[in-house]
Amino acid sequence: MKDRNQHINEEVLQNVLQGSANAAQEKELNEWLQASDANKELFEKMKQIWSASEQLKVFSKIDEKADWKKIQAKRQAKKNRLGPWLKYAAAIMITMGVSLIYLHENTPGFGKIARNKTKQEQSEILLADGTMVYLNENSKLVYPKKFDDDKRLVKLEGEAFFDVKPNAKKPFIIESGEAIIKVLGTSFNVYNKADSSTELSVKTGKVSLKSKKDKEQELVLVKGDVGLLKNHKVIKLKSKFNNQDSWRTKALRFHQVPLTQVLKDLEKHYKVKFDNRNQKIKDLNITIAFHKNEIDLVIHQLEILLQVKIIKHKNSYIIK
Amino acid sequence: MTHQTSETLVLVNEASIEEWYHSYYSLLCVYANKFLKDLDLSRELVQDVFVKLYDKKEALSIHTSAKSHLYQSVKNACINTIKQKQTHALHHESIRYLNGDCSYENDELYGQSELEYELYKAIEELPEKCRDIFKMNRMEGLSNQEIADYLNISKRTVETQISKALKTLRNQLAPSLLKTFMLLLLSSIE
Repeated sequence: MKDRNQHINEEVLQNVLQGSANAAQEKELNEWLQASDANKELFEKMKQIWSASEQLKVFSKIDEKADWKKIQAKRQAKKNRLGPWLKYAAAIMITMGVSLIYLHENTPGFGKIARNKTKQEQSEILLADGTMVYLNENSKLVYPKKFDDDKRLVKLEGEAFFDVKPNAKKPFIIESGEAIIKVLGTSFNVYNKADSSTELSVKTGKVSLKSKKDKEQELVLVKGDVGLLKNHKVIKLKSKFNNQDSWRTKALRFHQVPLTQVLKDLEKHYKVKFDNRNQKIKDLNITIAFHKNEIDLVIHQLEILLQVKIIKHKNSYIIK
Repeated sequence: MTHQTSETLVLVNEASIEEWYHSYYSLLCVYANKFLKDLDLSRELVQDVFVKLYDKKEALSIHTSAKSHLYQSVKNACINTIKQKQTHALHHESIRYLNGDCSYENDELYGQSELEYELYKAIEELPEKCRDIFKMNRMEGLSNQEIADYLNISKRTVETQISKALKTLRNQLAPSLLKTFMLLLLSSIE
């Protein structure tokens, strides 16, 4: 087997795409293309990416945040039928946005190590390297005010969402329960559950999950993945990153999600229990979203959507 | 405000409209722009489509999925805009294309827009240096030497970064996005 033709020099590929390849490189490419269909497919993929990337400038001209405000303003204008009001609405909304930035606080402390502990409230911590940590209720983060030269190490109990500033030279390491979590720069949620297991869900980037007790068990997770460390073993779950940090964003989004998963996420977010006694709806997929909504509104909308009656019994919601 | 679409029920409320905005707005603007060739006009058009979603009457007419509904609405709005501007003689091809009865799954230009959007998002997630260099080359049109001079690095480094970007991007983009175009492009290999 001509192993040589399974791989091609990236430089040659690039030169061909840019149109700056010499005769020898063109020949090498053709031989590689002839070697297998997989090579042909790969090259096609590259060509598409190459040509499509030229068209992308238009995306950077679209200001999604501003356009969302325009939509809300147009809605308001429809209701009020007051056209001239539009420009004042935009100005007021921008001012509100700017003043909120100044409300951010840092936690002062004595000595080299700082500790941030929450009870019934949530808190935000800005670390020395610019990493943001959002701490859920009943959680604790211990961290140095200044990081070491070769690594950034913190300790977590409970649950937190991390938005880690990239630094290839200094890996960010979190010790949490039995877990050792290592990242280079990414955002993800760490959740230590009551049964001593640790669930790690990755929003962006790449994270590694390891057990303190059995360091051979290492799992690398990427954007969208959810990993679980339980009974000293690490496994990747079938579920994807969706709503694991709803406690922080106050938003729940479901896009064609099975009802059982929807109820699970709602149970965690609102700290309630659901008991579904309706066989007809149990296999349905749901598309629905909530943002800063009270549980009563959620229940009401579920009743409408699923055409069922939901009765509250102590801390449980029974779906009939 | 709820509809059955095979086994999925779609609820239209403020929060879900915001979700669909984040998922589809840019993509739909770029799609509309392929016909209207005017980005600001395309943005206004797609904004109006979203404003209509808040109407109860509009919400009740979603029979398929939110994505499908938005896609059809934008197509219809494009036709109306072209007709209104009375430039339909110039945009004859566009009108013909838009009047075609296809779903977003069969629509090549929509598929192309989706690919461009996913690619745009993937590029934004590349490591900073890699991303900047790739964008300078592909989007700003600078040559490798010009980039090297601008950033005060070697041309070799520029080439390595671009290779790295291409490798990451081709691994990241879902195969399904590219499959429709495979058949068209395979014919161009000698």
